[in-house]
Amino acid sequence: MPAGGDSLRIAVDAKDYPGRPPKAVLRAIRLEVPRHQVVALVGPSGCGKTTLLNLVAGLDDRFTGTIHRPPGRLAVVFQNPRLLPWRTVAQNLALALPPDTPDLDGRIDAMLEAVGLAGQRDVFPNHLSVGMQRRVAVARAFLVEPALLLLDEPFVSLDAATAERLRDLLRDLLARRPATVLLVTHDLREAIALADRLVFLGGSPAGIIRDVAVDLPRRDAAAVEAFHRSMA
Amino acid sequence: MIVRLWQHGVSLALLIAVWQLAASFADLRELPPPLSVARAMVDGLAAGEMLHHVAVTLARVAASFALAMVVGTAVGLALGRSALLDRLFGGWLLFFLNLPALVVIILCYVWFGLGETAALTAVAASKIPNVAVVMREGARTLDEDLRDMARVFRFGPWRLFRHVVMPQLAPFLLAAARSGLSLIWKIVLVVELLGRSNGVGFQLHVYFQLFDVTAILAYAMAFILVVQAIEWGILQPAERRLARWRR
Repeated sequence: MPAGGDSLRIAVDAKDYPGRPPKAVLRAIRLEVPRHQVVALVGPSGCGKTTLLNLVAGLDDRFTGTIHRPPGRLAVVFQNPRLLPWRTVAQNLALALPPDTPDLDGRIDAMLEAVGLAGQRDVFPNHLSVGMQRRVAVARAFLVEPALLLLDEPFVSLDAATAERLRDLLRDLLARRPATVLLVTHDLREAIALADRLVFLGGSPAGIIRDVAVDLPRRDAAAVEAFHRSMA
Repeated sequence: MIVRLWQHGVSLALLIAVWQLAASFADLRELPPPLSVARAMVDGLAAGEMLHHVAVTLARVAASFALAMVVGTAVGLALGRSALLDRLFGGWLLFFLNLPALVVIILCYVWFGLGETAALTAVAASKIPNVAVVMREGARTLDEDLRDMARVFRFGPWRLFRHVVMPQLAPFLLAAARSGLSLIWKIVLVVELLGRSNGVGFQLHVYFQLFDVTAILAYAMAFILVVQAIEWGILQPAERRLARWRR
């Protein structure tokens, strides 16, 4: 795919945390993600993956370099679902879209149906399990039909079965409505199961140490396991 | 709920019984039994005079309460969101917090004359520091993660305020309102006693000069009833509504 205005282009020369002396977190990161490619950012905990994601999300502009985001909306599934606890599930979704969106209720219902939460429309998030709250966060992200979707360890601290169901859900949603995706994870198997391409962050300050295409026709457990072994 | 109501009833009955017992024991004009006070209250209300003074006081409470809440909230939010402002003016807050309400009232009457403006300013000014301190705490605890989320999903300033900021400040507003109301009631009475010619405080002053304890207690009762009505009719429902989403 040719490099165009539709791709995500990250050029972070330096990102430091303030302090005396400042702590260098990221150095010389160059990454281009073509339209609709799913890239997993893999690396050990605390290496700066989430920091990089916040830069890409535009939530932190204290760095040197440039980030070009594809035109269109941005959505983020944060590590914590970050739902408004004082608003119902449906209200949480509605707030992500402009109030004059045509057929807002219909779109919300369809999205809740798609993530298997059709009956939970008017429930407050605190009354849902953690796995269900994550699904609401995923629903909110897809509801805005993002051009760029950022996922920050979206399935961390879930039991294996729930995490697996959520991964399937994410694959389904992406198949129905593709987006350029940057997924942060420390779980290599999860990365292989979801991504077209693995980008490894490492070192201190962190840089890109490896960039691997995942070319798997099928993403069942055996295929993921085989690819995982082949990488060692 | 029923059990709680019941316990409240027993507690209230006990208080009245103790009062009745003390009154009949002492048998003095200075300590009238509950029934005389109740009769004085009903007579006062029927005559319309008590209603008038309670209404005047209520209006003063409402006006100075609104003023104190608006100014106190603005000051508190500014100090809570800006470390610089807090360093510069946090000390002022402490100063005003410890300035006795009586001093504020006297100064207001001296500076602005014995008028309604001075009265309302004095009451509001005595309460503003308390509201500001509570709201500063609220502003400090605002969740940055939710603010970031709101930015990503393009909430815009109005939705951010209404759906993200206000719900977080609501418990602090309610706490400030509740403690504010109970304080403002009392200060309004002092203001009326010192420099107004109507209102409950003024009436208490009149009956104090007549040594009419029955009338004083009747006014106090009427007053307590109004405060309780506000507590049950406005504050508690508001609190329940705000707590709906909690687990």
